[in-house]
Amino acid sequence: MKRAYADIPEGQILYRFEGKGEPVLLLHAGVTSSDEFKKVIPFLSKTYWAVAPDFLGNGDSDPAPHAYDCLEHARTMISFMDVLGIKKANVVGQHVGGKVGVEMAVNWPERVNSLVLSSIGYYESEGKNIKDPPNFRGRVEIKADGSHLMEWWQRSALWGHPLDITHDRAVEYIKAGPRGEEIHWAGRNYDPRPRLPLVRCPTLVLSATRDPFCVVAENVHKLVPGSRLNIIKDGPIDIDRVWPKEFAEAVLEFLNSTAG
Amino acid sequence: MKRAYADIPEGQIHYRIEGSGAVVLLLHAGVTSSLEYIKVIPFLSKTYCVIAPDFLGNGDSDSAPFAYDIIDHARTMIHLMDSLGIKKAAVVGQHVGGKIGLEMAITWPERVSKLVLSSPNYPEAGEDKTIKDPPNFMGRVEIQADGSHLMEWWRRSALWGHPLDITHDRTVEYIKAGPRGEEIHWAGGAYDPRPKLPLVQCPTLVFSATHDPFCGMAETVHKLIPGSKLKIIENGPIDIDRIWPKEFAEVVLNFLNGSGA
Repeated sequence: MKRAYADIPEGQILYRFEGKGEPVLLLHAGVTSSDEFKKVIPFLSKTYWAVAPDFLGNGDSDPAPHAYDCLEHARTMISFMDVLGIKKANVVGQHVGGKVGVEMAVNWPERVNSLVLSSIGYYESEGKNIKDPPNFRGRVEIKADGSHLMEWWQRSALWGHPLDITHDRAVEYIKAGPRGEEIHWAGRNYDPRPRLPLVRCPTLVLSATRDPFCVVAENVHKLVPGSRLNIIKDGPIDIDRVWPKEFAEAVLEFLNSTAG
Repeated sequence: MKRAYADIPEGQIHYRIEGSGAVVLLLHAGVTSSLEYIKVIPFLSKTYCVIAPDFLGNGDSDSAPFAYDIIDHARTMIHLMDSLGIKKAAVVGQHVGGKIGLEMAITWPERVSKLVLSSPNYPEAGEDKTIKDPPNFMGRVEIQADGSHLMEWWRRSALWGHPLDITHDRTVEYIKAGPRGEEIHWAGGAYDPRPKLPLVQCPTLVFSATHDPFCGMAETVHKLIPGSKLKIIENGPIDIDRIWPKEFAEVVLNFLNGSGA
């Protein structure tokens, strides 16, 4: 697996890539990076060109010029595909990455071959279905005593992941810095429900029962015409990091069934 | 300024690049990265092609296959030059980066046109050491379940009393380098440049800043390199390239422009 930079109008996008063939674009969740797919990519790269970029403001990409919404991030992904000479990609998005994928599929349908929405969520204004952990998404300022590091650690440790994954997530928070949460805000402010019926490409709605957004997966599936639904029993949040093989198998099964 | 990766046999090297012309290679200190030069590069890139790589195991480069010594790192820099098609470069090295530059100049003299050693140093024995390391400065840091390793890296970064943004940037570099990060400090500590310095044949500038703990060694280093120049910046801080980038860049430019470039 290699890393490289692509120059788009807004700045430089870091991406990981491996394999050759039809491109699969892997879009990460909020305040993470392409690092979350590093154990998934080897499964996909046997038969596909796996390409995993960092969104502006996350990982090792440049910061966004301002707080980007999902549509703006989607535009950067189209610019990114232009730079790499990718006409059409299979797009796999985790959490907010799935919302960015929806905007790509709706606004640039000629660029998206198929779509995997992994645990994309929405918030109902009344009878809120998703409960965020306390202080999960506030801006974190750099403090003279270094305590901001522990705040980022705490956000990373909320999910009870193995220590190495908690550490990797903390590094991603720290790299993203005080502006990191902007991408979570973009995800939160984006309601995919009016957009989902506009998706025309083959779509898989994927979730795992221990992901907080699993409760809305069936609704998401019903809203995307002709979509498939795959719920992985007992699967964790951040399934691509924690259960990479199961995640990759679900994606591959879908991609292979839509090929040709 | 752009970032990119170069493929060398040992892995991928991340580097920052700006400008065109003769190549100036900027080599960073221990457990930092090319980020330390971001404010220096714009001064140099007006007249030079400036390239600042991250050593393997630091910044955004791949990990080294094992704990590299100075000559191993020097070889990766020659491989980087090969990969980028650079035949010869002026090499500027800060702290351990200077030691790596020194090995490049001695082992591959045809690849190094000029050398700048910024606050170079050598190991001392005995009780009359002039350099006192801060406590627990270079031990390996393990990842702890309570996240306290992050605070240990913060502590190491905050030792120098730098402005908050620089302390934070240094901490991020420690965190990215991870538990193996200190290997490059160990490589620097184990390397005594004194027997090598008389072998340097290219024009060389030894410079330091009076608040850098290694400043007291600059004159000895200077005397050991035939025909070298010496420049001491009065009241200059440690990590001078981060804190006083303009002054750092001026010293480098005066040397590069002045001695038959």
